[in-house]
Amino acid sequence: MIQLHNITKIYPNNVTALKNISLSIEKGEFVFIIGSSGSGKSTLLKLLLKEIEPSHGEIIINEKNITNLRKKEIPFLRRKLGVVFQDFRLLPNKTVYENVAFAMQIVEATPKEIRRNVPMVLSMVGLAKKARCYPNQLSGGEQQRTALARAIINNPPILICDEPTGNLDPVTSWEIMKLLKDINDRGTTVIIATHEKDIVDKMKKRVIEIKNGTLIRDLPKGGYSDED
Amino acid sequence: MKIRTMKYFAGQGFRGIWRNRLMSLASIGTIASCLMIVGIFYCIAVNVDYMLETLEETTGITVFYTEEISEEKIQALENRLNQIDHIEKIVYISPEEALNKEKEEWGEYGSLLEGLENDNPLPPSFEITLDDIRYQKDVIAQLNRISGIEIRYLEEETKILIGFNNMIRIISLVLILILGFIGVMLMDNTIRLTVYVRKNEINIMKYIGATDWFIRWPFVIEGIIIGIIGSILPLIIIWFSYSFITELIYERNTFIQKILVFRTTGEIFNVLTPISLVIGIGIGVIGSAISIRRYLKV
Repeated sequence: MIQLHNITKIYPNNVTALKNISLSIEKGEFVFIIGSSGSGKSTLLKLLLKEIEPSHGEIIINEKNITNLRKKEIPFLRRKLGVVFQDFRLLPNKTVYENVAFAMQIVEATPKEIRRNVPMVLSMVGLAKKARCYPNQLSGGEQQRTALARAIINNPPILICDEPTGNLDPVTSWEIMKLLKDINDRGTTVIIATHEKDIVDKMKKRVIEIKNGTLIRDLPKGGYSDED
Repeated sequence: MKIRTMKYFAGQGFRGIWRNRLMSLASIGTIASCLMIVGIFYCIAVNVDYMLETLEETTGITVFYTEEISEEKIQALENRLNQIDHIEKIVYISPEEALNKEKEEWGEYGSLLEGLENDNPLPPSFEITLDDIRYQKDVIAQLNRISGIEIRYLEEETKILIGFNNMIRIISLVLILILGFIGVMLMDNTIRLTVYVRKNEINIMKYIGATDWFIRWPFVIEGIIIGIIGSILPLIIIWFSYSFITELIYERNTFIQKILVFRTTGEIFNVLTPISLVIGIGIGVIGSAISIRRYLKV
């Protein structure tokens, strides 16, 4: 589903963020990308989202080489990739329902589809009763659930999460992880960048570790560090 | 584009205007003042043109010999004039008649011309009326081939009016360019503010996979709405003032109606309305396009 071939990213200020990274993620996988701040995790996710271009190498998503994707095609690539951020990025002047419906409006879904799908996804993430609330009336966990609902509303085959539990307490973090697991169980490929040892250790999923821009570990059922 | 998407864009466009009311108002104001000047100058130019036409239609051509001339030659000239097409009427004016006419025109100073009868400086002349003013140039061209005569027609007056007309056109063109430039600049600022306010929203839209045009349209529509409001305002003002002023002039000065003829309000607005809308919407769209290019790196 996702292949990276010898990816190197050097920023204009000559900082090398990623060095010669090659990896492959299959359909339906649940992958943690770990590493300390500045290791290159975010750069990797940005490359997948085509926010930045690699300096060398190729990225293939869904059998399509996105390295030379035309600018016009980028939105359609992103529709295949649901995204969740550490800081939620909800629209403050829209309700939970509207925030999720907005993602469907953008891909020009019919009002009928919106009325049918939004309540369905909201109840899946456990927010059916909060549909009319505004983001500032929600807890952090509820805000992240809203963001999650927005990310999966258009059924993307791949879900990318950048530190999804970074702003949440441990209990809430587990609730979000459970949701991500549920989403993965339905067939969505889930990629999570994180540095939360506890979660990675307990989930026993594939772990890709990046250090100083180099891939140093790729284990099918790893923990956060080698000792486990 | 689907209708509900268009509704969404229009809604976003109006919201954008409301969010930066002050800047929107400034943009509307600039476009409106630009089009106010366009409108005023257009009214003047059109009416000067119209008066010019009317003036030409009411006046003819005068032909006379520059030197003293014999009766035969005058007769020969009349024969030649008769051969020219589009001449409806030829009236011979003898030096005596010409002098009397002058005296009349001089009014109370007419007595100053007494005593000129015996040494009349005025030449005999023909006053020519054309069947159609459009052929004035052709007729003049043919008259020019006759040697020893001078041709008088309302060349000076026509020149003055045409000059005035050209001056108005140049002034209005310069003003439109300057104000149009200011309008575009202000639009750019207005849209930039909307872009800034919606920065987060745009960012999220990009991640969700909104196409560039989906993101751009609300700003373009904002420009169009501002352009339409900015062009309709001066049209309304000009409509009422034009009707009022022309009526006032007609009522107060019935005697100058023959010279001061005005186009009707309807005739003016048949042309002015589309011109204003095109310029107004043009400024609005160009301003927002510049802003989108610069600040909305979609």
